[in-house]
Amino acid sequence: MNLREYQARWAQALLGEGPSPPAMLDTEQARNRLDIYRNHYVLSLVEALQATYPQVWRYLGQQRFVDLARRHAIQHSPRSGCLTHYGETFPDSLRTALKEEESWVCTLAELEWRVERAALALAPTAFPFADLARLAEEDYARIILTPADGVQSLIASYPVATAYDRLFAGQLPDPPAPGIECLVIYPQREGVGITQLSPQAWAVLAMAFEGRPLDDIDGGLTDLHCDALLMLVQLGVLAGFRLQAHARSVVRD
Amino acid sequence: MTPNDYIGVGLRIPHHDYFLADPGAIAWMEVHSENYFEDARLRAELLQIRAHAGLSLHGTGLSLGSVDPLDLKHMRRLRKLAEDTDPDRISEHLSWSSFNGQHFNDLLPLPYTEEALTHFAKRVDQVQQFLGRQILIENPSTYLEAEVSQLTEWDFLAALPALTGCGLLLDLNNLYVGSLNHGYDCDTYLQALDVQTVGEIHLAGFHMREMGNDRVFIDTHGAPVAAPVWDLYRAFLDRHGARPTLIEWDTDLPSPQRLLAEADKAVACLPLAIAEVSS
Repeated sequence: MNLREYQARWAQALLGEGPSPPAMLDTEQARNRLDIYRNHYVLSLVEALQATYPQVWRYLGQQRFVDLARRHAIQHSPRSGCLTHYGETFPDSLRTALKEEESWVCTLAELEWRVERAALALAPTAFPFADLARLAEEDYARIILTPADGVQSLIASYPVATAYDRLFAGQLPDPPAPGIECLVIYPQREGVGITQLSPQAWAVLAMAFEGRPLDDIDGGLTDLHCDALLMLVQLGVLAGFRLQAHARSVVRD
Repeated sequence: MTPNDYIGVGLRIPHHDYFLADPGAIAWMEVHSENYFEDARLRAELLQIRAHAGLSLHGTGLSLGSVDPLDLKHMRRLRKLAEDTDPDRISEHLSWSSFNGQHFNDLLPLPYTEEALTHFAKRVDQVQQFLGRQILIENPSTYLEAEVSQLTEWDFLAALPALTGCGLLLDLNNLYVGSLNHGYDCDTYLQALDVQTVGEIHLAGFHMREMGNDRVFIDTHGAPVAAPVWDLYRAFLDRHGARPTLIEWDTDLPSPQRLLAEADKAVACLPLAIAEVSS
């Protein structure tokens, strides 16, 4: 048996895909010892999911969470030797496993994933506000904003930010009714901030993520968008800006 | 060097605040490299601690023994972490962890064959070239042995420094646990190694599990160092002199004070060994 065959058999045995353990392990003692490795594999991934989804875990309770996480872990092996980004598709696994009335928990999980991503980044340094203040008003349309490191956004199909806050405070929330909530999730000096955005702020943030000038906002740049821009700066969601090099000539009918 | 200079502890995330407040509490610390690849906050804290303490980067995710290609992204992140932190040592394991791109998040036992040795040595060499420095390879803790093995674990491990110029990380707890699980003799194992290549020693705790008629000793890193492991440590020091030594405690994490008290026990083993090396 060469090294590739040996590792293939081990992989099958760990994933429970082989009809029997690898031939070289075919004793009762070996099968029991193989279970140590099998259990460690699954349990370590369950622990990784618990660390990434603490509020989902809190809401579902230990046993239900572990059952769902085990199912996910068996079906989704890590693709890297670093588990920091393991579990991105866990909300999808929840969606297929939970009943309709609990589908808001999948949205909660989508939020938690983004909270954990934002938590990996350092709080941004100060936005160059003085540079912004020096701009002439007609230049605002040429602004291309840069999001701060780690900033995430979510169009949530349930208003889960309040439920998240309650769970974070150790309280069980009432299940929210469906409703769209546009959220920005961003690193702060201590922890992570979650803020619901107005349509104008969402439009400004979308331009930043897409690297497009504010002039590209549907319907054009308004005072409400400028207010939203200042609000995003204050939150620490934006790291900086540049000006589009050349104004495009726009033909309007 | 004083005895204290040789002894380090594993820096685990719940202990960051303690060691940020008192980074001189221990001469050096070991971290699991992967925990600091992506997390900019943890990395910033590590850099603060590093300014006052030695550092050993201990990896668990390179999967050196796997037939999968080496993970270039993983190696780049390790190299960046090493550039940022300038560690005293970098280490990995004599094991494999992935197959067909699936990672099993564990240090799985290799078959000790000539093919595996050639493969493993080639990979160690590639990693060392990529990092531009020597790495240490740690003897594993295993519960199963492959019947296809042609070499003993100690002969396999002993061959690596000569083939690659790597060093060895001697985990005396793994050695002891392996001797209980597989029935080999610790002295035979140690005598096979070129001890001059041992760049770091690990001490940790283990647990025993009854499985039917079988008793399995599991390297949990969740208990104080066991008396027989201390005996192995003292014997190594007496024969070969002092090495940087880590108290490794990963599960059921104790308070930093308790961890440091365990480190003090290692310090207490050292003076005689240092005197012998100096004379």
